[in-house]
Amino acid sequence: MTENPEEMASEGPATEEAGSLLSLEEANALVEEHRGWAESIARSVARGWSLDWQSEGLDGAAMEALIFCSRRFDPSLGIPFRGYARRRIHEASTEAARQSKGWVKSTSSSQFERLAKEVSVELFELFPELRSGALPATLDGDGGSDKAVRASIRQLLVGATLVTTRQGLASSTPDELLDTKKVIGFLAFLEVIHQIILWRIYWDGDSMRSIASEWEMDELNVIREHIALIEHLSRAIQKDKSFEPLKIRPGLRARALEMKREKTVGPFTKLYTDQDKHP
Amino acid sequence: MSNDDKDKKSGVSGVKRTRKSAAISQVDALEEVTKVKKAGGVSRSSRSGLDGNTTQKMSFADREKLLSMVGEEAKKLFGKSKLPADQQKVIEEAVKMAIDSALVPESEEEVEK
Repeated sequence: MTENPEEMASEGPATEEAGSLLSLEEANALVEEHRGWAESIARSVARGWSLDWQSEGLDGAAMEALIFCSRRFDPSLGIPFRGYARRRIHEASTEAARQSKGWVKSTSSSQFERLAKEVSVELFELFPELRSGALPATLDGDGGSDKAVRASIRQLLVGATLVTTRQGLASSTPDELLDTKKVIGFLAFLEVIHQIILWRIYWDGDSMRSIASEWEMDELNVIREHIALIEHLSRAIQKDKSFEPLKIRPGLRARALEMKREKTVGPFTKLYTDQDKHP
Repeated sequence: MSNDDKDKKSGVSGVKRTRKSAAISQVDALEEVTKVKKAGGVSRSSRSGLDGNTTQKMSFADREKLLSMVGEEAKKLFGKSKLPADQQKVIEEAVKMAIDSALVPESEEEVEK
């Protein structure tokens, strides 16, 4: 995709099907205005993953996404262009980074870095607000206060712990399997509904929205429960012992009772039991 | 006691003549129902958080502080944990990478600071 404004003009007018109310000239003007900012996003992605933003193609991906967004931007919706485009540009830069030669290195000293990169990419899927430059919400605390920021960081750390636990299960070395079994042991103590929420998000890659939709409830119920779960796990990891399961919040109690009536077995309970039978 | 005497005691001064009630005048016509207009766009959208809390916007200026906090919180979280050191290192580094790559300076001035 081109970076040259003259060539951009030859790409044709924005179409109504694309939903943009901007003329081509206005869209191109937006691109010129925010070009430096889009490059900043590409540079930030490259910085986070120790890549070169130009030689690895992140600059082109960011420009492409910027142009894409300019063609589809509807100013009458009242959303600022940067708020609209940032996530898309960040996604495009991330994808370019993952496809780049610098992403996977062959030396053993980079193995740890490669694993960390893979986990960090998953964190963007689990906490998409990161792409908008925001930390995850917490259940309590003043947003922006030191306490709230630290609580958000803990959420990310626990999220990454679950991701590495899942990755560890795929590993073939007995030592690693033994270590991950301890984390599975924590998770097996949770209520069935909580196990299912974590399994579906971290193992199956489902969104909270799809879970809520399937359970015919407000997405906020699942979001709040997930945050409470992560904070609960954070305390369990800190103390290195499992304790009484987290109480189910009111929004999910009916569903949890239904699972009990159906005698649903928690996926981590099943996994833990299977590992005991077949070590 | 006569009724007049009772009235004097209770302070009743007299019975006034009933006022004539006004006749119901014409009912005002309903105003015309105007066509539904297009709703105004949201001027500022901050993601509505939970129980009133919003997601917390990160500032590039706080980059060093944020990355340092990741190290501090990881140390607290894994202090007593028996999670392997390698796994802890990957976790901490992954979170730092995610935060760092999400921090974008909004202006050139922010970069130069």
